[in-house]
Amino acid sequence: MKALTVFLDGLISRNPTFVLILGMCPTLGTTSSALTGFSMGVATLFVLALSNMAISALKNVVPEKVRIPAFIVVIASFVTVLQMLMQAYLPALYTTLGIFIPLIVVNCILLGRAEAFASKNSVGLSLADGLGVGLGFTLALTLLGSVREFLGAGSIFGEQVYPEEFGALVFILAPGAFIVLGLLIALFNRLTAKPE
Amino acid sequence: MTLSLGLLVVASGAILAGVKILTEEPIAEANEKARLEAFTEVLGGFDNNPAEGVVVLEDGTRVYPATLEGAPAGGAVEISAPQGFGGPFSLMVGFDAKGAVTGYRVLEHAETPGLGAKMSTWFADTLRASRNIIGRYPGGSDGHTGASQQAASPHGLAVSKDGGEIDAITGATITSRAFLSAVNAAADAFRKVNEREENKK
Repeated sequence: MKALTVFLDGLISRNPTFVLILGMCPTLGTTSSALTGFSMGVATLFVLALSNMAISALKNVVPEKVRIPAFIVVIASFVTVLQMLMQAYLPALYTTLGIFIPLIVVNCILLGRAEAFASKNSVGLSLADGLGVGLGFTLALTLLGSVREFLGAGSIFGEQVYPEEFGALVFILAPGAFIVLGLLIALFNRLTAKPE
Repeated sequence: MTLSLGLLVVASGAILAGVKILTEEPIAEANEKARLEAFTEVLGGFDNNPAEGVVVLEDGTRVYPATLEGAPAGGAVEISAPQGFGGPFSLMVGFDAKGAVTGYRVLEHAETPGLGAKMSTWFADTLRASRNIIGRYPGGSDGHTGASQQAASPHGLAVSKDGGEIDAITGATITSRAFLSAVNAAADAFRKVNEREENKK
């Protein structure tokens, strides 16, 4: 039951994008379309779940003083594994995401969860936390990507809803990312606000 | 402390080496498959394996000659565009025997999604003649308008902002310029290789 609570915590009440406001670089950078946002979310979910487990398993072996370098080694290794696997089996997606795959290493959600959760909890709970936070991140990026793609290019997941010429290009560009993100955070907070 | 960190690094190194060995072959296969798909997409009709007759020029540009039933049927040129907005990107451009563009494909790029990244479809829009480069005769970036190029404009393809006749991608003029100059350079490389082949005969 504890695992479920941890999972839901990561998904909603500690959602990395809408509540913790972590990992803004990939959030703003890869969400110009629903598909790239979703793919980035899944890639991060994969690394986060594995690195959380590995760091939790290593927490008694690695001395306190060198824990941060150790975390970075673990995270960077998983990201490189992911990069090679994607290049081999999902080349199209690999080309689309490009530089943002290696940049998962410096996503502060990963180091944040490693330091704040995985280094203090059991492997099972760390996995639940990784899956929850990762899924929360994926949902947030997919939502952000869908809204931006819909307003900017008139489509969702590449399916044209209205002609592209009527889209507002600003939503595909960086300013649109900030505007939509701000509005979504406001909406999320309104929906999850506790009644006073 | 040093020991545990050292061991961790060695262990991750071993894992990475293992995955590298495992994925080396699939990655090479995926690249090969992507290249074959690119040939089919950019070339009109061909029945040889263009990769077999590849000519690599001094600047790394690759020219893949295509033949249909033994007769020359144009070729594909793999070229790098160094002036992209997000760094260099690479293209494959197909030409027919006369030097007209039959198709193109963006192989690798780091252009802005939603802007420069649109180049993969923008310049092949058959419904909008002002964007379409298919059927046009690029080249001439070296001041040469060869006999094999019919009706090639003296300066090659250029965006309308620079006095050319191609509409740039909205909000991505730099990418459009890099793209068109790469297509021009590809046409020149194609013509150069063709002339070299003819001189041999």
